[in-house]
Amino acid sequence: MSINFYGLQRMVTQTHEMQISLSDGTRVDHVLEAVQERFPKLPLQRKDLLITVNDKVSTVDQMLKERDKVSLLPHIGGG
Amino acid sequence: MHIHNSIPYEPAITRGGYTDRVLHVDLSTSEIDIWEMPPDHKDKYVGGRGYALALMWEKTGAETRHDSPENLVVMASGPLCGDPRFPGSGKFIVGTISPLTNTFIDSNIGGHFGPLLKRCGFDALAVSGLSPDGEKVLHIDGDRGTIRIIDAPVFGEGIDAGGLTYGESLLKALNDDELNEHSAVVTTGKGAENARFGIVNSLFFDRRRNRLRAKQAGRGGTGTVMRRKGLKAVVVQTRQAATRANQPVDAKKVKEAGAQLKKVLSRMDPTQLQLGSWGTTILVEYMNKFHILPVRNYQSGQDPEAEKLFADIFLKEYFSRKIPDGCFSGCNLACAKGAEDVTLTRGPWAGEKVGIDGPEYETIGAVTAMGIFDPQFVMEYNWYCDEYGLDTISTGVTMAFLMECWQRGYLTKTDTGYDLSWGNVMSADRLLHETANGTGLGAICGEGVARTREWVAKRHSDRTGAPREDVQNELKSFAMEVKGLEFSMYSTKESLAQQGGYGFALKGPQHDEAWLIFIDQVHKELPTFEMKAEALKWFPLIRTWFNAVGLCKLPWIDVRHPDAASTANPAQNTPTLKYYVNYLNATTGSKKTLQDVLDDSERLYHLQKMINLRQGKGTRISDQIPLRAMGPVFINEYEERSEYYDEWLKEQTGQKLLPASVEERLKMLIELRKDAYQKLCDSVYLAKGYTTDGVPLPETLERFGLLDDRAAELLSEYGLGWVDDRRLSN
Repeated sequence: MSINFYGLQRMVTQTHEMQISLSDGTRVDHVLEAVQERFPKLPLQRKDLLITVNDKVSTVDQMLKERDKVSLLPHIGGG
Repeated sequence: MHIHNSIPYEPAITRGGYTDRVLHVDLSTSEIDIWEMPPDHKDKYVGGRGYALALMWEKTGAETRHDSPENLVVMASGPLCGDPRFPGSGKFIVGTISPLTNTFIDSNIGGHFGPLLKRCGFDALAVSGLSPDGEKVLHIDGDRGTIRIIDAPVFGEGIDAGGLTYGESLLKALNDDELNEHSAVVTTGKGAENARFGIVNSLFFDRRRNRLRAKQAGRGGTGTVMRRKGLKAVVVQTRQAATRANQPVDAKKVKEAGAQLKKVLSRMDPTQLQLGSWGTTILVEYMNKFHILPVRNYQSGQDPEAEKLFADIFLKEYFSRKIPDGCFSGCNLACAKGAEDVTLTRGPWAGEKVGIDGPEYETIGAVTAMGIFDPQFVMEYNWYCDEYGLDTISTGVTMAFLMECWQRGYLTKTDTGYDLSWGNVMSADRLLHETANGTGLGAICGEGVARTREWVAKRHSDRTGAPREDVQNELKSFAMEVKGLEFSMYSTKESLAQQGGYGFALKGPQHDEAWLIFIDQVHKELPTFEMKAEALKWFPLIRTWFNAVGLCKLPWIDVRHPDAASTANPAQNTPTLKYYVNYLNATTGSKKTLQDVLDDSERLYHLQKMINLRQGKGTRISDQIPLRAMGPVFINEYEERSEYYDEWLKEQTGQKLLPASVEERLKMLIELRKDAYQKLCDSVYLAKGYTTDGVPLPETLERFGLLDDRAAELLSEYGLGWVDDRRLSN
């Protein structure tokens, strides 16, 4: 599965996405831990983030499948 | 310099956020007078757009049009405008009867003008009349205690035509060739004279950049009305200290509320949208991701080329970094990004280096609506629209509509004079300048989408023999306007709530009343019609309150408080709203709750609705949106997003197997979407206290003290109200 990076995240990661190999029972929060370990400077406070899996809002305990795309988005309220 | 009138005056002392004075200028007679507002006026109308609405209700009528002498241009701040201890307090509104919609429009705008107008002693400026003898400048000098109407100084052909360049020359001329933070000016350019969607520029001096910066009241043609009146500019100046601007009842609590909000902004924005770093350009990437970007006249919500216009590009190639970018002091969100020394490559100023304020998301969106993904074009389009005094949104949407008419064969080269294919930068640039000059195809474009649609229908009908009404109906499906105003830059095909956010917006489809796309489309937090209706009642009330008090809403709506997640409705961000209520009470001495604030705003909402009703834009038919706002109009749109549409149809119909042909599926989808929108209308009118035709019930107006004789008479035209103590039907 892959994590997509947006905006400032990309400035920190210097890449659009990160691939992660899944093992049985991998959940979203496991992926968040892996991302944080790889990019310690990336701000990933969970309550500040909207987590989507395949563009649908998700929770940290959602189980992931191969080919899933996880995004960590800010809340957007509109100007 | 010829002075038409000049009066001495003593600037009023602000108390609790108000001066209780409105400055009135009649350009027909050059009369200047100062209206003392009665004590209860502010209790009922709050300020800002509320003051503008009250004036419009009282002093204009159903027959008033944008160029009628009695039409007013109102520039009004509000009780919370002008205190740098609280973030985002530099806003004011420009309100008038719009040349596009024939009803009330207000557009909010940042910069120093609103705060300085208040420090000059006025809660609002109201300009009526039409100058009989050339263009005028209004000069309000709080230091000298004079208000003058003068002939607009002449600086040379190029400068005189421009909103930005003229404003700078004027300020220098009136200030011994100096620019400073004690004076500000509002202007517009020649485009506002030739198009219905002229803007008002608010120019203010930025000491750090050592240049004038500009913010815009962009929507609805406020600048066009200014030019029709013969008002070229308004200058305000005073050296009174900003900290004395509001004379709040409890300065300590003002500081406390401001400090709390500033802390949230500085802590949370860097982990959320990062508006302080990117400005609203950051939205391009997210809108593209969720199919909301209005690409090629809102046909596609996404495009592979959109990444050429992501925030990274503007930050890397254009934005000046490491300069705080607030449009008024004290705002630590500081989202007003800008660029220095950008060399223009096109148009009459080609080769010149200019400072550019922006682009905002909306301007970039407008360029994608033309199928263009060229950042340099975005920058130049941004600057020229500001200089000419054109709304980047309405300009872009009308140009995009013409392009689609060309692409689909409704127009030929005989009609347009040149190729209008998607993405044709040369043609888009040409059309922009023609629009500003009122020449060629630009003379049509400057009329806006609704009137351009009629012109296209006539041309096509004359050429092909097709019945004009049939052509009109075809064009209506993708002419992106409601009530005569062009859509702002969000594709709503996948959010019914935002379709309503645009359709019910009293001024026309601008997102400042309701922006519900994310909580509806992405978060799926509004699954029922009733929930959508409730959101379509609540959000417009709180969002438009900011326009009544003189504040920017971005610190509330785009930076979520850390405690919001644990509230019943995180999207409302109520922990931050508490700071605003505290700021209000500390400034004015009131003891209001959030519900009181919503009630105040609801009174203004219904008053605006009544003006719409009076102007013929207040019933259900005026809230109808084009088909493209509901879903795909043409097969190519369906096919681009077929996976989503197929899934949606299966959910709605319970059918596992859909019709084989895309044509049949599209037809089915259109019928379902149309039906859903009508159901939404029913739910929303019920929630707002209106009839099924969208007319306010008498008891709704009565609850807010709005059922005066004029309102009762107007309602009686719709069979509502009381006559001879007898309740009429509904």
